[in-house]
Amino acid sequence: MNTRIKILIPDLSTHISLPYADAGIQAGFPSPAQDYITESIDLNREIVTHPAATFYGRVSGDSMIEEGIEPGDIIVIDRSLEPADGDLAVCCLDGEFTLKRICLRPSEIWLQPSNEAFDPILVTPDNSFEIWGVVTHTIKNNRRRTRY
Amino acid sequence: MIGLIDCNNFFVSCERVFMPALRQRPVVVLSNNDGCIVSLSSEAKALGLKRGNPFFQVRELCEHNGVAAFSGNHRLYGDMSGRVMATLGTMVSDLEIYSIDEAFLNLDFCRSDTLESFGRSIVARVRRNTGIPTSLGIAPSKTLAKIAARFAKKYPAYHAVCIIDNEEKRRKALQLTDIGDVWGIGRRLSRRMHDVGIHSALDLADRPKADIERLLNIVGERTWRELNGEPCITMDIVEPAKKQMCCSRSFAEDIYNLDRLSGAIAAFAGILGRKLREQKSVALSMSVFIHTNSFRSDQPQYYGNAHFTLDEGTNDTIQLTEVAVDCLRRAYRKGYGIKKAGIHICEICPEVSLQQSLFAKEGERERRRRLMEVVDRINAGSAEHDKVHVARYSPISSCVRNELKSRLYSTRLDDAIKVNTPNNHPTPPAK
Repeated sequence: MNTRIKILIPDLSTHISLPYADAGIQAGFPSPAQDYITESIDLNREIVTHPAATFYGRVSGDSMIEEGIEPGDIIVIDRSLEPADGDLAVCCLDGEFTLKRICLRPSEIWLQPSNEAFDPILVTPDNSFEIWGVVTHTIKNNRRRTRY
Repeated sequence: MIGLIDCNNFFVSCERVFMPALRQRPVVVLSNNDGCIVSLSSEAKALGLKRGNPFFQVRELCEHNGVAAFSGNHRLYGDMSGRVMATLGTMVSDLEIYSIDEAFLNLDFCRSDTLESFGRSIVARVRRNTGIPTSLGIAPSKTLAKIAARFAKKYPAYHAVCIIDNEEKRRKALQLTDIGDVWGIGRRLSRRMHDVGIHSALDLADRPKADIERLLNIVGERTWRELNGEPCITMDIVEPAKKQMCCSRSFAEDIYNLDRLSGAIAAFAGILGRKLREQKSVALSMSVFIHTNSFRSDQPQYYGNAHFTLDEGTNDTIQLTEVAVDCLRRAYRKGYGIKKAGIHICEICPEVSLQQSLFAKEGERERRRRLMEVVDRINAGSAEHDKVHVARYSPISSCVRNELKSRLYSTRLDDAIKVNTPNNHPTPPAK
């Protein structure tokens, strides 16, 4: 099965914080860490550099499996980035989303899968084609299934 | 110069971003309860479909021609609108969001010989970042910019940007514009104009000033001056566009505090509540948006947006405020300096057609209505009375010394512990 993408709208409005508070509980004496107790790692801030242009996608299919992108993975797509040769990108090919490495040659565009069972696709003038957005990150749930 | 950027067939375009198979197909988006067409693609227009067509009347035509029809997904549209506006905000510091799919841009900073290329880069950037196609009109006044945007959208030869920057272009554009299509000229006013021989926008612009004062009200006179290239419509006197309203402000200082933002949002809810009551209509759904200062690339960027659909329409400031502050809480995230916030009322309908939900208590509603009347009477005395001047917020200063601190393992990714993953398993320690 070819790798298909379902595009999701990120809801950046919630976050889960990992609180920093290592001072323990001290009766009667205010902790010097108190002021910083709400600081936390915010993955949105680290991963989403252009929030207005960032969308998430979830991977289905296994055409990119050899570079570790598996069905169920979440991809972070930044549309504001100019696509460059070799980028992993979400493409619209004939009305469907597909995830591939893009090879930009002087006069042609190839879509490169990462799975021996698939051949690279040459984009022809007959195709309706658009690079929808460049994939910046892949998020996987490593507990999702038993391995090996 | 002033720019008006207008998203093409906005609701349809939003649907198409996420369903590329719809790009070549005719698409329509329907109003509440799939009542009538509110947005349609050019392919759908070519089939003879029109905005406002009741869907049941055209359903057969749609099915026969493979038209994709969607119920309105206002949460999606609100989010996409926020993305468009935030993208515009990275290119133009002074912008006024006029409706869910339109914004005025102050382009005074742009040299006249670079206006066209800059305009094109705005359209291209919005398209690139959000997938939404737009049209841009540029002219000396808002009314002319609106006309220019119509041309930019209507004629492909403009490649989405139309500039009215000399007398010849202005006269030509006005001549081709029906008086009823001029911004701010309603149906009634347009009929009156036809009666006195004003049919095109140029007919109006060419009348001597004395005529205008005799014939028209103050709005008409302002429109006349605008058509003649004299900017005089500021944002505060703009009538609500279409079936939506928006109230937003840029803050003098970035706001890092939820309480302060809540205060500002509550003030916007008050302004919108009053506007709704003035025009005897109610809100059916709203979005609250906030975003950081996109010109500060050194600071983390965030934009948040939360949507709420009301069980029944309301123009009660208390309820609007509750809903808006709840949306704000959902959209807000700690640690970002918020530069701009606003409320966008996505759907409006007349008060009279209000459908009561099963649970509405009539007595309670009546009490609230009377309370709002009192509020409006008090505020009527001073136009600015219930407007909060958000600029009065003072910044929070903070001064933290960092010299002796260990790394922030748990709060900064750059400081996180390094974990080695060697290729070979380490040999077990000898016994």
